[in-house]
Amino acid sequence: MTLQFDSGTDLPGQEIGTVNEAESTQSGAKVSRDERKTVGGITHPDPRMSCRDVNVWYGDKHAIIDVSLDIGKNEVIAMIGPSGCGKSTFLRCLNRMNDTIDGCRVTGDLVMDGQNIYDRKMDVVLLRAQVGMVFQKPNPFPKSIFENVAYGPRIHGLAASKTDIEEIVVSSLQRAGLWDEVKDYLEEPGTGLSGGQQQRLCIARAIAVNPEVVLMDEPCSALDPIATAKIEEWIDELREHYTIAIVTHSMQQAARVSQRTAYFHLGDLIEVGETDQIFTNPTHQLTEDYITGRFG
Amino acid sequence: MNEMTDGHTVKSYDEEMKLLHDNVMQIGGLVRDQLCRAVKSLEEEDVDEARAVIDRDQEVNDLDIKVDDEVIHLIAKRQPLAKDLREILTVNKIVTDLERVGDEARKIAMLCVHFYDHNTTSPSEVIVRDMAKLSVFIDDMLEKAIRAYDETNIDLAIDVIRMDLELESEFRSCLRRLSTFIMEDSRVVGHVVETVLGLRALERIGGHAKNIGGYVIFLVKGMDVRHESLDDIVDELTAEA
Repeated sequence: MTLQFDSGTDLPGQEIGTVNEAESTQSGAKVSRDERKTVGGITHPDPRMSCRDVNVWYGDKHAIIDVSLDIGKNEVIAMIGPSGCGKSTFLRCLNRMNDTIDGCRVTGDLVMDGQNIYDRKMDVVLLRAQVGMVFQKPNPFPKSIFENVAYGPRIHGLAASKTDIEEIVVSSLQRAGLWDEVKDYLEEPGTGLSGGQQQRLCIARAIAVNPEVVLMDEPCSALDPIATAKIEEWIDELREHYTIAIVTHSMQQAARVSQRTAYFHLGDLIEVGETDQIFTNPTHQLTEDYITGRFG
Repeated sequence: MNEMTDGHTVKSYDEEMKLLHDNVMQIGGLVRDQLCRAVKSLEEEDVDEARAVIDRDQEVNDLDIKVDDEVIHLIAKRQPLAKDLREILTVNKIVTDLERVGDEARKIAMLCVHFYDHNTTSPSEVIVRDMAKLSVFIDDMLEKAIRAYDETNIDLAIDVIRMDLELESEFRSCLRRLSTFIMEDSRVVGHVVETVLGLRALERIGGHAKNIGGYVIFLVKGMDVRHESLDDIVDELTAEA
């Protein structure tokens, strides 16, 4: 499954600015540390993952600053914010994707099912099966459509027989809403599909290993509106099976698919709340300014 | 420009929001003028002026449609959120109420035509006197409501909602006074009934001003205070602060 994480997306370290100074400027206005304290409820009554006091550094750059946030079972949580705010970095902490970046250091507690995922005893390969990821740019393996989906269950030993594998492949493609379009072409290369189909193939591949959480890093940014609508429909349908954390630059997408929204700004978690509240009447001025297009 | 309309990264968005704001102010000014002219025509028994008010109502209707188009355009083009969304929804509602204020002013102008045209018997001056007095109070409400929107001023909005309670009380007093005219001389019943309809039009304008006050609270605080008592609104605002 390690291939799955070779995303081809920009490394977060390349987009993060230095934010560990006491004050920063945005639109010419000084924003002090006190003004960047999190508002809203960081807790969830039924958390799947619990993050407390998470800090991330890329070398000397302090990319995530004391972020605490629960990610609830069967919820879709959207993470929004301007480029370089740390939302993708935080997302990547949730399945230790940042381990692959030189000079990246993570501190704090990130707990799933009672276990700190940054514990030395944690099996990272298993963690990434439990916490799957879908990237901005579709990245199917250079294999057939069938093999793209079958690869994960096979290496994780989730299927005892060829029939089991076939069942997993079919059900995963069905859940990803791709089955009807590819059922007669399963031996064709996955890279021959359209962009939207490739992204749904990547989703099928991620859910084939039966994850508890699916992380999505701008999954629709390279897709047309129809392909985007299909992914969003999938997110809505599969919420009952999975916990989904999605990073998106589209405010409308965040409003459509999520139940809670978290707004990040220069490495701080500024505001968390019900999506309806965030997009109609946010509490924090920085959230208001960002979602109304006054900076960012 | 004000804090609700300016500051967008895309400057044309600011301009579109400002245009929307300016159009509300234009309709507001227009319907206030219509109200004043309609009541004055009644006081001065000026049928020509009343007919001008009736004709000019089309101008209000045209502006109403224009603002509706701008709202649709803004929603489709900008997909507004948070205070932009509240501003646009508020404008949509305010303009609807202002257009109805224009309709009520037209009704008052039509009353003037009905009373003083066609060589019919005109009503006694005392019967219509309350309308002129009440219209001053109503215009004050309307002016405050429009200013509350312009300045996003919650205190003014609360004041307008409070004034609506006074208006209800004054309206009932007017009805009582009118009923005494019928008791004294039943031949005036026709004029009294029509004057009641004129008073009712004024009272409705006060209701529209109160609605605008409520929209301003929604605009600034995101709280929907329609169908709530003044005390509850004040309590909610105090708790929120």
